[in-house]
Amino acid sequence: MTNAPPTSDPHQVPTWEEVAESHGRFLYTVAYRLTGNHDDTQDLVQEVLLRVQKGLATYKPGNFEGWLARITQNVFLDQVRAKKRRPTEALPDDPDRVLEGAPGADIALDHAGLPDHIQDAIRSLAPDYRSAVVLADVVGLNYNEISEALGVPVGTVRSRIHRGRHRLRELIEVTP
Amino acid sequence: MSAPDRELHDQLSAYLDDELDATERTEIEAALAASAELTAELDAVRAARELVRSLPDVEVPAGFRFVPTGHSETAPVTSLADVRTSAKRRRTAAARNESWARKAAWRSVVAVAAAFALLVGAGSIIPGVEVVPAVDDLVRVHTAAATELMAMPPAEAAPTMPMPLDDGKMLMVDMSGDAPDLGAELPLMGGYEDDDYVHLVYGAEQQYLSVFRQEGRLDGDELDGATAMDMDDATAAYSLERDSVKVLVLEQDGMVYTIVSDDAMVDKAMGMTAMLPPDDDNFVVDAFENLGGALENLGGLF
Repeated sequence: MTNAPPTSDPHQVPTWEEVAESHGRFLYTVAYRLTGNHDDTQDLVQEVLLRVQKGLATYKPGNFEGWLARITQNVFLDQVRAKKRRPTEALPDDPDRVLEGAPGADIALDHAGLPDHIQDAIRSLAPDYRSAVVLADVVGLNYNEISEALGVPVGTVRSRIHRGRHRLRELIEVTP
Repeated sequence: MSAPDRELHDQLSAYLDDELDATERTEIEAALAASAELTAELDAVRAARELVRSLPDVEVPAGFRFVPTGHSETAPVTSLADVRTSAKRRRTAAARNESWARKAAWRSVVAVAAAFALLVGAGSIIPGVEVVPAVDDLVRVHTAAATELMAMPPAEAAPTMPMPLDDGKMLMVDMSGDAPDLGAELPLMGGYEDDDYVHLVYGAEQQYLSVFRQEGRLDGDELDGATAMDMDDATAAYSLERDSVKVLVLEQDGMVYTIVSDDAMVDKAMGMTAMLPPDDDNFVVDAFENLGGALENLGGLF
């Protein structure tokens, strides 16, 4: 993870080309892990870039990719909730609700370990669990950072990550 | 599975990630030593974690550009000021063909201000001294709050929390999702009170509107670039702009209110207008009730 803004001179405004070169692949990967397909990924990345454009003026030097990931998951969850039109629905506490729905049911377990099937399993997680797992295992944030990014207590981060991983294990039939 | 058992299981990944304190770690290790099932679950989630971590970076499709629509790749990533300038250009063009709807939208904002004034100013007419809101400062505070809120977690994800702004002010943000909407479009996001102002921030879909209140009588003649407006129930009202930011200043019942809104928020107000005709008295009543609940929700600030 890169901790510097996308320019060698912190006082110089970077170009979009520099953002793409320094962080584009990271941003695209995080977005893809969250959405699971290229069309939604590209829509998500576009929206993130717009927010980066608005927010860069107040960006404080630090973990730039962490900041990018935080915006990305915020936009992702905003989009999910907008699509479902239930902006105030309580988050699931029941582990049985970790699954988003049907898509995971047809994952071929004999293909466990292949990137596409791992990705399918990730996509099958409910968005809140997916975000926690992606921030932990794709972005590499620690639990406090994830707590801040998701706006939930660390205890909730623990349960979301664990239940998300546990469900992933069930879906892809991991052999320990 | 009982709740304590579930909590124990939920800590397994934290143990794996070295995110437990010493006491918790000791407890988990004792539980692992006593339970083959727990140990198997730990091994399973460890394997799941490694699989996710082993995923390669995703290849970016050829032709995809990391540039917001309408920008050049070699253009600098614009600052907020540039965004405002760009928005101002768009607004200037739109202003040439200003519609009834836009005028109506501003009447909505005025109605919001009137409702706000009715609530917090009722029964407390204070002669006060003449004041001139520091509009440029308020625009900066609003912009800072809006920018911070933009990167905040989804509204329902966190409880009320303090959020420091650059100038030392502390914005109390209600992220519980319980704050009532204003016209179903403008949830109260937070606010604070200091020696100078009461500041409330409303927002929806990453767009925000600030209301600042201060005691005193408005000296509108000293407002740079302001245009006087006719408004019922207000002693004086003025509108002005700073870059792409719209500012409305009015005096009512011994209080001066400064409402700061960007262009996009005006469009949001247009949406409210569509639902509630700006001349409909119910709009003011609804706003009044919602604000009352909002203030209660942020109890202690006022």
